[in-house]
Amino acid sequence: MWRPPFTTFMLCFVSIASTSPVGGQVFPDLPNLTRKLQSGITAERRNARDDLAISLDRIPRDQLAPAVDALVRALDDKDYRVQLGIAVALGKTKVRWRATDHEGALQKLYSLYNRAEDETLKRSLDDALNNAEGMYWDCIQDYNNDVISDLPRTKDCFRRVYSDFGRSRYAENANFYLGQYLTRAYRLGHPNGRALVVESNGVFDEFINKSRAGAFVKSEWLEDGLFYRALNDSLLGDKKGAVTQLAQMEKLVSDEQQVYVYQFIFSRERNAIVDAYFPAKKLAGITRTYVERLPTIDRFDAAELKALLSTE
Amino acid sequence: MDQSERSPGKQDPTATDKPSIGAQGNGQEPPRLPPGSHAPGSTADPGTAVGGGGGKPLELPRHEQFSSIEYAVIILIMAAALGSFFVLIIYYDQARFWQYLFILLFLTLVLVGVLRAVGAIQKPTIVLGGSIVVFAALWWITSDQFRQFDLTQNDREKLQSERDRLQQELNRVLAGLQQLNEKELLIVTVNLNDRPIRDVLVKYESDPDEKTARKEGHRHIIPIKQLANGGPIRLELDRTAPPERVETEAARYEIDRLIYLREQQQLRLFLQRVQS
Repeated sequence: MWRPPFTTFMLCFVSIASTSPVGGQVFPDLPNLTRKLQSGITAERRNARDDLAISLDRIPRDQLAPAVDALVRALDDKDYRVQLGIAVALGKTKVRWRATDHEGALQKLYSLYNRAEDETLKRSLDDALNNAEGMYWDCIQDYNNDVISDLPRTKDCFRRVYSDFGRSRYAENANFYLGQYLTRAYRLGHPNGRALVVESNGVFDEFINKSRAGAFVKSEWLEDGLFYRALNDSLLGDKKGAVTQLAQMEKLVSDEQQVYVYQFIFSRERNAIVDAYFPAKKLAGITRTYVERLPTIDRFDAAELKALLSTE
Repeated sequence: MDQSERSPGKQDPTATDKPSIGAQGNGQEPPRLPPGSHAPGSTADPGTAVGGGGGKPLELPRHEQFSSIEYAVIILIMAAALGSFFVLIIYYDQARFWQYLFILLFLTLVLVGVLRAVGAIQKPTIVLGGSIVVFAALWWITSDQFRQFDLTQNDREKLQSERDRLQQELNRVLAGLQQLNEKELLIVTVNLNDRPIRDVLVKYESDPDEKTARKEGHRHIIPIKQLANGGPIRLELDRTAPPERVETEAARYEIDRLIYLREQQQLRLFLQRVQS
């Protein structure tokens, strides 16, 4: 099969880089592997992408950058399958990848993402971009694992994704989950206390405004943002604020839209997990009625709300 | 100590109590040659043989013969193994059980043979009981795992057959759409209660590569001209879905049923969430 000279050159380069003392014996079969990325057989191509991701995961952390550099350079190849294969592999690594010129690599991926027309390649490049160190999957790992030890770093990480890479599909997620993360940090007992919930409200307000203005390439979290903004008010003891937010939400959404609830209010108890989608309008209505009935907002009980929603 | 150095008359006290090396270790007294006779092939002078002048002759190993009981046990196990092998061929729907039985019997035969060879089983009469014990032990150790494996395999096969059925149904719909000259195929992903699901990406085969449908929430759009004839459509978890689901990869979706609503020109995929 004929292959452009550039590809061959890059294959040699990556191969040399990976078997050099710096790269270690990390890609012993890379030329063959990359050839498989271009295979005419679908299964072989898919397997080659997975194999490349696994190979990257096996490279010692301090030796990963040279191998990634070579792969990022190989993205200049015009071959769709090579680009897709590398993007898929970089998006699938379990370890957050890092390049020597990390910023340059991120910008290159983002630029390719913006230029790509093919939906599959676009998504794969976006996944690769956000699987890098300091990008979405890095910060969301802190969120998922309740890491609040370096709050400024995680906050910057989330902000960076939606500020500097605003056209990424992950930008909407990053903005929404920064709001969630700050509330979670408060519930986990961060010394900044309730100021974090106030800060979270600011982030949610920014998110709602941007989302309603169509600033994100997708809009899947707006209803969720409205809902959790209201629940934040309940944490701040602002019953009136919560009711107003929920009433506003009822006006803006329909039951065709869905709100994902992992937990109403973060807790480490297993029975607090809801893990379900709810029709947005119905959720807002039931929650508002529930909050209105409470004598004071500090009587808000997530378990009661969960039970109420399951009986409706 | 070299036997030739032993003083005459002094006899190794163990010589008559224990079978000598090569006596098969079956607990029976080895056969002794009559006094004065010479062991065939032996170059030792009878006077200097074990026991000294006029003592006991050299004891030599003899080839062990299988007893009739042992023959019976071996034939029985082999017959059962072969029987299960033939049943395996004839009744294919029960193939895994017979494969399992065949392996167990074969292992029993090998293990009993080994036990017999190392002397753990010494009497031919114990061979039958030993075989039953070994088979029962193997059964006891492995039967639970086999049942579990068998169940998983059955489930997988049922699932695969269901997937094939759905794929055929989907292909019929796609073929019909191509005949209708629709420009786009709209796929809507919903749960079993017909509520939107936005966690998935729809992938489809388009010559020569696999593509991802353009996604707007729970709506997925595929240009029909890109659809390869009969190419499969599959689902993948969207990585921008809630991170609690993506990170743990605990949730998967499978198609429960599909409906094509001609007036709305949309294919509705009813998805069921399963734990992986």
